[in-house]
Amino acid sequence: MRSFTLSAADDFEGWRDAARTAFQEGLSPEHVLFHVEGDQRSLLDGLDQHKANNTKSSSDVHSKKLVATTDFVALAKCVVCHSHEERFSLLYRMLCRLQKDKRLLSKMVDADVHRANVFAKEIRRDMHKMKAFVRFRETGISADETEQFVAWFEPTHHIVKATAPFFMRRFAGMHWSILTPKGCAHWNGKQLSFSAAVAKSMAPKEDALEDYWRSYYASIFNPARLKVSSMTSEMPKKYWKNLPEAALIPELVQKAQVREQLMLDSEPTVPIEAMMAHRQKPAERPKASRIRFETLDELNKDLSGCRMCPLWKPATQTVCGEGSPNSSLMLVGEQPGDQEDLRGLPFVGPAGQLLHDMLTETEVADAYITNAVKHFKFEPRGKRRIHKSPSAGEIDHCRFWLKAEIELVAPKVIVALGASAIRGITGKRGLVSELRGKPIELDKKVRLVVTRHPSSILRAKTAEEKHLAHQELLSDLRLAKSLVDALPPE
Amino acid sequence: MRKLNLKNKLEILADAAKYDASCSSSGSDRRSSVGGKGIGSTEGSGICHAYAPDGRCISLLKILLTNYCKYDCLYCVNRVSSNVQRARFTVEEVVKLTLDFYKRNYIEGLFLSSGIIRDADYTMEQVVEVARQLREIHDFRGYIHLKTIPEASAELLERAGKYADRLSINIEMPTEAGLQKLAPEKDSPNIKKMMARLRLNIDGFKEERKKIRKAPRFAPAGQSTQMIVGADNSADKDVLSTSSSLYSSYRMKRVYYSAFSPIPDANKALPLIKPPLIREHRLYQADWLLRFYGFNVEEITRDQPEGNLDLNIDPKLAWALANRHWFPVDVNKAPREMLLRIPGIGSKAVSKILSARRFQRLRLEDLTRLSNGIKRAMPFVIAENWQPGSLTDSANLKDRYLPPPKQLSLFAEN
Repeated sequence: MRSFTLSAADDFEGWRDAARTAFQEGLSPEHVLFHVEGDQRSLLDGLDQHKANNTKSSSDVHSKKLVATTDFVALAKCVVCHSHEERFSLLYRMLCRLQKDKRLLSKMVDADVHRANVFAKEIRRDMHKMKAFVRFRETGISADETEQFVAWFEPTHHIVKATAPFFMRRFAGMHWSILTPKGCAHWNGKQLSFSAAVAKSMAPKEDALEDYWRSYYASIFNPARLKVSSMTSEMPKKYWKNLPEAALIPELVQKAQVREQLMLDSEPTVPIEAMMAHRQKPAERPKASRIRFETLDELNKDLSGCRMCPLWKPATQTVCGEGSPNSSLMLVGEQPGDQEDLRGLPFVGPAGQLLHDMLTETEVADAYITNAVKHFKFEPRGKRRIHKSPSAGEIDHCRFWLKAEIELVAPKVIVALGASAIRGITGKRGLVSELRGKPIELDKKVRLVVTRHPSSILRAKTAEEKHLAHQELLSDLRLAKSLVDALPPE
Repeated sequence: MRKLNLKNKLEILADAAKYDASCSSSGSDRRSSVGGKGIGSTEGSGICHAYAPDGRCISLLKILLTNYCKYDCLYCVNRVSSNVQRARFTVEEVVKLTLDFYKRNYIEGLFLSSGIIRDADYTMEQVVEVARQLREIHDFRGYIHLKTIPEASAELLERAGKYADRLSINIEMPTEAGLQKLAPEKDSPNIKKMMARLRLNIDGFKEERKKIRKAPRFAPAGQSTQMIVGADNSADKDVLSTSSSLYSSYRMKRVYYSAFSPIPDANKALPLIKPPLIREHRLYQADWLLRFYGFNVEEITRDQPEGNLDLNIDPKLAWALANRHWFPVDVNKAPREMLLRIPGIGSKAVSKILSARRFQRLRLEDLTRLSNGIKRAMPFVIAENWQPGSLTDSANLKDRYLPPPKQLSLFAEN
């Protein structure tokens, strides 16, 4: 049996050097003991003592190369902080096993791995609670006019050194000390230092702000929601003695029910007239009430309050048409998408970008652009919205608006982008593949050009399909443009 | 009227803010006060510095700038028609309180909201000014959550996003009709449009930052919202549908559910009952199922009468009991999506199971090292040495999960 003495309870380097020595000497886990200097050691009396050397291992024997994976090192650095006396030998045993089995840590059901993970979890929790429950008390102002604070905290494990950098990052602009029975940490604005444990009496007894903090604690508590077990599971009683607010808990709990009943029983009061005089007017909600519209503005105002089908409910807003109100050319898409719904403008998403590029390419300068359906229909999936095609019924409901738009804009040429637009414009089902490529007379004054929707280019699977779709849309837009150009001047 | 001192104001304006459930201080960018002139850091996950006897965490100094308000939202303690005591902090008072509390490690930062005074822009300007002073004068690098007002100008919103880690605006009610009835001054379309603006700004900032490291900040911890549960007659199905569309439309980090709770000087048009805390809890569980377990609203609610979640058992178990044909699931073979559906097994445990079964076939006792919910899961799983047999389909399976019957108490525990 060989015993190594480590210089501190969380002495990772000491353990590492000792483990290296033990391994090189070929010691199997059951023949190695680790011991923290100054700890009680009844079991170890009379054993061969070996002081771990922090600076350099004296051993020059390199008979076996010891390898540790980075995740093991990270786990070990954490586990050494635990207060369980078997932590060092557990880690040494795991280190020995790791030499034969590099994937040891992935074997979560292994007894050693499981135990180390439980230790690590307890350490993380203890560190987290230290970050949460340290309460600084102001002690004065330093020579360079920096405020000085001191806290007393009682951690369960040896986590002061491991947690101190957090306090440094957070409170860099103050000078502070955290005193604990497991060692102390200090920050002077320039560097962290550590010192031996001290008694609680060394810490300040109070701070003027604690009264305010207690007031806040009492006021933010809702007596109608009393749930003591939820509190104690996250803020166990062992921490209460060092939390200034915890002294209030018994009384708050005791009076909660009475306070709640008082709220339930009290009679309503009469509002103060002077206050009520400042009351805001209720929000005005747009309503679709007109049947005929004189202008597009009038139409859009009603349209924004449309509730004719349920699509408005999950959508952000109605997306009205946009463009010159007297344009000879009107483009009709299917429905707004994610970006259009957020911005309230038609064709501003990826498909819209594509369409605008193609309009520039075909030198269309002036067009009125709108959709067959004015609300975005989608299915929520996590953080994204999946586009859903509108049903024939939804398109038909929205035809009311589209027809009114066509009447007001009075275009000479209408481009239907996709099947939904065909239905919106004509009220009939139609296939793009059958109708595209040639002008269709809607009535004596208006001609329809059918083409695909730009999003079909984005959806195309192969480069070839993409190219073909692109060419089709482009040539149909050119056709529409040529029809507009051929119109007699008014 | 007696002049209020700072402590009186703190009591009034903390009391006025406590019905906002949001307390998170997580999800922002990592930063520290090292090299700065002041204090403050954020490191990904937030810290709860205390817990009140209502079980809620105290992470931020959650206060209103003022509880004077022009609105008359019936559910709200601060509505214009209520006779609660009114108070107003100065900007400097809030700044100093925040810093003083922070230095003593009481809080992670500030959650600042306000009643609407004068107009939206005036109110928003005051709120933004607090954040500006904290950041620019005091180089405060802790967490700031600001409530935004739907009608505030784009320019103010931009400034709010520059100083705040998180912005939020409350949807308040699951349906527009509910909002119209209980909060007549609030406008549901405006609220949604503001959420859309927030998302566009947040997305824009994230895109910019990929290109330029020092891109102007905009709410790096995203946006959240809150819905009051139990003040109107919406079913859980409505609540969850609204949530799922909020998550997908505006990329909410969180939707908070707040059980409608009795307030001082309440309006009698509202159900003054004990707050439906269990319902609230079930909604959070369902919310988790939607976000992390691959469930959709339809699946969770379709087998429940009137679209309301079962209060006696959790929604995952309720789904499993109604869909037993999916079970038992073999933990040694089933894909992740199916493991996630086993009652009692959480998403972390699923990852551990997937990792551990690459090395060996898992027995029941192995599973207990990977999850604390194995007892609940037993009727629904097959393991190396475990077959539930007829247990999965037994008629009284639900009884196994119900708390033992107890004598009726005069003091029901919520």
